[in-house]
Amino acid sequence: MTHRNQRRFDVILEIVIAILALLFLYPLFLVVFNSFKTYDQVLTNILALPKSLMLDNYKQVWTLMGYPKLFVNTFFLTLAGVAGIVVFGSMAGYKLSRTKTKLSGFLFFLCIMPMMIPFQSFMITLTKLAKTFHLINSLGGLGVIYWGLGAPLAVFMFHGFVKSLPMELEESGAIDGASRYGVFVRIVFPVMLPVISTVIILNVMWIWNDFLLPLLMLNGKQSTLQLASYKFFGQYKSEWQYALTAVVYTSIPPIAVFLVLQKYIIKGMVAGAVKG
Amino acid sequence: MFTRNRWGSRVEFGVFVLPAVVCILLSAIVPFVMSMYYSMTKWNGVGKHIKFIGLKNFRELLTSDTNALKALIFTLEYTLLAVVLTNVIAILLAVLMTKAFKLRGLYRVSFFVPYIISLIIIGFVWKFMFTKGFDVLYAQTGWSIFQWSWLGNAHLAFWSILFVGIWQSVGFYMMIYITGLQSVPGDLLEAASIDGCVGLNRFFRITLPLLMPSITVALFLSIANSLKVFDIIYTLTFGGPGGATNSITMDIYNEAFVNNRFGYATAKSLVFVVLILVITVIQVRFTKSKEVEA
Amino acid sequence: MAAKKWMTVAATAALVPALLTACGSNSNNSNEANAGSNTSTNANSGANDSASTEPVEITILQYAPEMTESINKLAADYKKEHPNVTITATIHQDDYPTLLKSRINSGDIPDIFMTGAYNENKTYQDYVYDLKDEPFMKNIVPTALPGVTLDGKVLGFPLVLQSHSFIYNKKLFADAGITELPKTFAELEDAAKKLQAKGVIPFSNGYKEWWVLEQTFTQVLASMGGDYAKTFDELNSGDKKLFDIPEASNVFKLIDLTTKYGNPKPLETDLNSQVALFAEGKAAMMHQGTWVEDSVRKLNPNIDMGFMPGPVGDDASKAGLMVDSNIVWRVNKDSDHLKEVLKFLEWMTTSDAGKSFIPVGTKQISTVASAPFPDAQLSKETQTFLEGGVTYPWVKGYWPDGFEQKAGEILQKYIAGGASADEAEAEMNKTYKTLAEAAE
Repeated sequence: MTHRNQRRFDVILEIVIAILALLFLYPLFLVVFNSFKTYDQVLTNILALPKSLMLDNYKQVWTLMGYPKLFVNTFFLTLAGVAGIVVFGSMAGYKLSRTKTKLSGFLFFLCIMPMMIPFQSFMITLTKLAKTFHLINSLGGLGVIYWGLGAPLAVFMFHGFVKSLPMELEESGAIDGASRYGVFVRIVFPVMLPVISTVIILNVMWIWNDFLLPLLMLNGKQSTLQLASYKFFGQYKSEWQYALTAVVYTSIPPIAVFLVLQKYIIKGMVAGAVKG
Repeated sequence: MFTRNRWGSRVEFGVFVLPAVVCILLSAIVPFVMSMYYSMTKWNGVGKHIKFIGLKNFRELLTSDTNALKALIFTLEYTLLAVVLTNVIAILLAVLMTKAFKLRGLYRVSFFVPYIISLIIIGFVWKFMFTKGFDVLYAQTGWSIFQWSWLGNAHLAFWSILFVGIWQSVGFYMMIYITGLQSVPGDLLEAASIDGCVGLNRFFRITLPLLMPSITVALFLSIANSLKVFDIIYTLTFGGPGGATNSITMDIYNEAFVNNRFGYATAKSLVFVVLILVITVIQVRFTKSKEVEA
Repeated sequence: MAAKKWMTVAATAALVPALLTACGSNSNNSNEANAGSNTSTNANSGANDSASTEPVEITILQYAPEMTESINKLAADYKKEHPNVTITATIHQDDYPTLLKSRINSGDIPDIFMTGAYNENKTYQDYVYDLKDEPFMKNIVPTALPGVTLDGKVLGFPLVLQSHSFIYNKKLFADAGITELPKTFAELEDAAKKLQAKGVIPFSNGYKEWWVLEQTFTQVLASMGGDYAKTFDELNSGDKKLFDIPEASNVFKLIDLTTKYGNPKPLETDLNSQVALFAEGKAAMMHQGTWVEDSVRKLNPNIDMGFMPGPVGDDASKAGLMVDSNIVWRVNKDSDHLKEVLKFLEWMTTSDAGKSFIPVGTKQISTVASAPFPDAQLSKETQTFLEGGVTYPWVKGYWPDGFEQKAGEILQKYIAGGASADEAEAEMNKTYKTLAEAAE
């Protein structure tokens, strides 16, 4: 292949990829388009572009959902959940990776085991247990439940990442006179920044979008964006235009988080997931 | 260096590991073990009468439950296709994404965005596409492919679910492979080129073996997630038409919450978890053995 | 003793709304004024029952999202008369059984929770208060009571009378020259041909929803008549198979008919699409119930529609309407404020605001005998049937748990071509047996 051919080939390839990316996003564009339409317009032709940038749906849904309050709720819940997952997951992943004993191996297996269990098979008993520990009916309690459910993947990823780190890293810290804990906080933790961002992104997506657990644990005392937006998708009637608007509203924050942190996710995934 | 003090290091091990272990025990392992007790009982999931019946549930499951068998076959077929296709497409996209395209960052985001959106919404959006969207597309193009009943035909519904499943998750696996590719040392590829090893040849002989650690991880995650497929089916077809797209998790869910046979449902999930364990352990053993050091 | 005390409370409570209506707008004004100043709130409740001035929260967990707005109004109305009582309703549609079961298991049981009638009596009986001796249950129409009765106990407060059958577009029928409503399969096919000749889709089939098929099936099944409880006892004990009932097989003929003259892709058509086809006048009939009135009117406010006595075979006299009460409020027997809950239910059957909750708020038929009648065409037609037509109860109430959905799924499979009529019958017989045994 000559150089010029190669370049032409690359341009064509890029066009193909661009088209593919557009097709990929097409259903999501439709969601956005239709959120600017009235109920009748949605039903008559969902593929048509909106006639105008009608914001009525957005105003309606904003008040119907009580967006600001739910945003704060969901934000707090996500923050509480992700913080615990990152802190506990990184500590355990690090230590289990650095300790080569039978106990350590067993505990690692125990930690990642929940990834193989379908949630439906233990959710009833989980609510029972959560009640016993007074974790239901509160956002904070739900956050704690997320710690244990999110930790398996986090431990798995930190464990893999630490394997790729040289032992000398900690030894140099110890020579400087730092304690074992100090070494972790001051030396290991910063090095893990890429994988930390990955774990943050994955768990933000998950907790922000989770529906079933808030439904079971909050008992209507508190609500989240997902719970509220699902009210528009009733089995016996769907108000499409509101439902789609709610989809846009609830999806914007995680997309924003992704856009901000995506530089790190690339690096994080490289180092984190690879050395399973 | 750190092993001088035995007790110190034990305490340290505990301090680092216990918080996560306790949380995981609390949220997952203990509830799972608790619910396993019910696998030997007859219980409707709410009532106060819980009758111990020994291994009867397991006997019924293994001898006469044709629904569970069908769900198992569906789940295995789905998993096989989803895992293979998702990973092949993801590797392909990842290789393309490492090329110096002008809008590379934008493409990455485009492919990743479906993964960011909640599965319930994804199911809703695609239901909307398959029904309303395809009707309009058919009216505009006249292509009979848009007239097919993508969710209402037992065979097509399988492919629809598979398609949406791949569409939704491929971006995530693409990310894993992109990172894997970035860790393939450039000088190695250069050296290979000098040896006349280029194009597809180079991909299969050099890149792919070095990508093996990523493949181990991506396979593990995609197998576990595909075997547990639930949300997409729940919103897209609810297992229909006529139970044609009932996965094992759907079957367990229906047994527990629709048929009110909670005890039997937990027996099913116990058997299912053992199955997932066996499959994933075999996979990890196998792919690990193929990994090479860079 | 306890019951007696309750009687006096109930009697005085019953007076309150009566007095309020007598005073008209005046009393409303004074109520609002009271709410404004905290010091005088005792004035209107204190005299009647000194025991209940403590703030009380009654929690309700339920599905039926169409009730959302009216339930908020109900809570506000109740608070006006009982300032110390706050009614908090959590309304959730999807995953409702999961939600309810996890709430009960965690011991955090709402004061009132909604379930279906009939077999759900058995499922939840351990947690439900028996309303048998509550005087206000006399205000409920007798049609609604069998569904909540189990072994002589009354395990719930039925809320709504609903009905389903074929709904038809009167104008399209007239345009096609159909003067007599079809009452047999042959007449139904005849009508379908006439409609088709006019370029109208005869049937809008929402067979993506398993419950639409289940309702079609129960309508055919109910036409067997006789003593349902006895028949289903025999079925549940395994002495008889489901398709030993001769009428049952008619469901396949009916489904064949509706799909032959129906919309394309019936298995992909969900409720919304089904309703849209009908409301927009593209289709002339659909198998649905009173609950769709609102959605239809939203798309076509002036549509002239009615219920057809649903044909179930070759006997015209058996065509009828399926009327029952399958939405039940159950009272948590361990509720901390059982008295307040019962008082609230009493109020539901005696006060104007309580009685208009269902008919005015949701445009459906209330189970309270003296409640006003909803201004809705399908409900009015239901009333006509109740007064002089053929009606059937929803026999699915006698089925074991889970068979509703399974029956619908197996019929979907039949439509999809995955099973012949014989195979579908065999599978339904087998599934029925398995689930009946499991429910023993």
